[in-house]
Amino acid sequence: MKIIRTCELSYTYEGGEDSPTDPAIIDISLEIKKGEFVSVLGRNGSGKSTLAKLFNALLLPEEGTVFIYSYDTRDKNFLWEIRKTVGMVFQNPDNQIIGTTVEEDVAFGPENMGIESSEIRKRVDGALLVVGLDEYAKREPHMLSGGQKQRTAIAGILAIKPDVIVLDEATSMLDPTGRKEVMGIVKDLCRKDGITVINITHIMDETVDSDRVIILDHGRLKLAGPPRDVFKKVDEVRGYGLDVPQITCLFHELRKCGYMLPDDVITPEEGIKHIRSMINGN
Amino acid sequence: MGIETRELSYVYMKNTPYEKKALDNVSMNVRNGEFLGIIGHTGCGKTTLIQHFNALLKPTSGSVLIDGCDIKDSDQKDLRNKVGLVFQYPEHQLFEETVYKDIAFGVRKRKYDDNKLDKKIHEVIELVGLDQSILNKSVFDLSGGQKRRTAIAGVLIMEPSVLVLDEPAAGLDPSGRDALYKVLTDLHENKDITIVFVSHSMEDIALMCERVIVMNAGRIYMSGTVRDVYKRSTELTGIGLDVPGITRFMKSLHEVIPEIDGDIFRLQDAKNELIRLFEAKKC
Repeated sequence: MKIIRTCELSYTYEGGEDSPTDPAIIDISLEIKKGEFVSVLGRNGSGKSTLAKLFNALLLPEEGTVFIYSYDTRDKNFLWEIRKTVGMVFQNPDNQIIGTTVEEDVAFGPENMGIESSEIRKRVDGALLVVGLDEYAKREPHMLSGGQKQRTAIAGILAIKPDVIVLDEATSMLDPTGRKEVMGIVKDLCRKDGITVINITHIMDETVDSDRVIILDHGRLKLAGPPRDVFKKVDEVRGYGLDVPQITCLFHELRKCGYMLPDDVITPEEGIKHIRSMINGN
Repeated sequence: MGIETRELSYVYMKNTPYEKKALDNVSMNVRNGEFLGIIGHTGCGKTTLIQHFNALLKPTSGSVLIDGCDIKDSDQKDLRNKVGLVFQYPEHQLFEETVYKDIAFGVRKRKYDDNKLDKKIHEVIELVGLDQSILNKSVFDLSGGQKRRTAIAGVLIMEPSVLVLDEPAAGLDPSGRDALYKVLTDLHENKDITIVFVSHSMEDIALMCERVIVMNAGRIYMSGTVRDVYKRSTELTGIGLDVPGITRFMKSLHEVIPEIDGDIFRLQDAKNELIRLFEAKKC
């Protein structure tokens, strides 16, 4: 089932009269299926965050349409339905936590939805358990590590019971451990609970086991497909100011030196297999 | 110019319930002219340590020497000119109306005449690889990478001999990161600036640094050349650091093909090593 569908979507931020701005999103048509793990890549200013904000009606299309299920995001009657369906986690952990304790922060969303308090209790406890912060319920958020803060933010989204979670560079301010914590949780949410995850990132390692990689450049959708198919276009991907996984790059370099190796290697296991068969002459 | 710490300890919020020993008996040095990496898990004391390098923090015990002179006895202003500190997300500290004014801010007390100031600003903007046309723009109109480099230009105009950067590439996209790293390499090679590079990224440290110091729980855990340190991958993993992906790959390859060198930390070296193997095997 399709959960998000954009149709010839364009968006331009309003500039001053004397400083017209370039369009941030140009003519993007794409579909995201329920339960999919999609990575969105693109250099700074390529339109990634704008696209994310169009997915939950924080921004509204200027041209074209965005559908969340069958709801057109421009239809104000569906605003709350859309916001409940698509939850966002932003880059800076310190800008999205408002509660004075972890559990209070997580309860903020469902409280605003007017949910009954026993149900809120259940949801908050459940969400904290999922992100592994159940023992931190009474802690003050500012005493948490970056990874813990982002997990609190994710728990706050989970308490709304969304079908889609959009992470807008949610790991970029975290250290490697924090990154692993957060990515481990969202991967589980996707694979085990069927939550659709859209991960906007610069970190290639986060993308190799996603179902699909989407690359934006100057507001346009340039490449989309399974990571293997996208990353083998090494030079094109680099042309968009991005990296490919190190292992893909290594094989690309070896191919350039004339060695007959495949161009679509994205995991170390595959790499080892191919190098072994290369030296064994088969 | 060298920096040395001797049995340096630092305690935050001493004599309160939040008291925390951030540095515990740290003796280390930054050698004149080197490109030194400092790596460690969040909370290991990296940032606390570098804040001692220009006396933003004063030791709770032990001492810090800049060019052999204890920071206690040094002129602080002079010290801060010599050691330029670029914080994490330095672009958050940009505040002037234009890039030009922001870069000029650091030297406003030096009473440069307009010509000299103008010349200096053009020099540093070139050093960080930005176009002169950017100078009259508002800092809000710059990309993340441009803002970061503007902030570094604002430190370079002080003409430091040592540049200390805390996670300089955090949050940048790959092209912004590469451009920034090229600037750092140029400053080191062509301007003889000593660089201290603090990072979480084992890949980036391997790419940039000659020597690396690993910190853990407020102490120096190990130090040495990148090769000597990265070889000890089990210990590194034990303190929450990962060796680069390419190193893990070469190590796994070494296990099945023993003649491959498993201690490889850069992509370029991995490529050369594999070519060596292929040639030896006449592939």
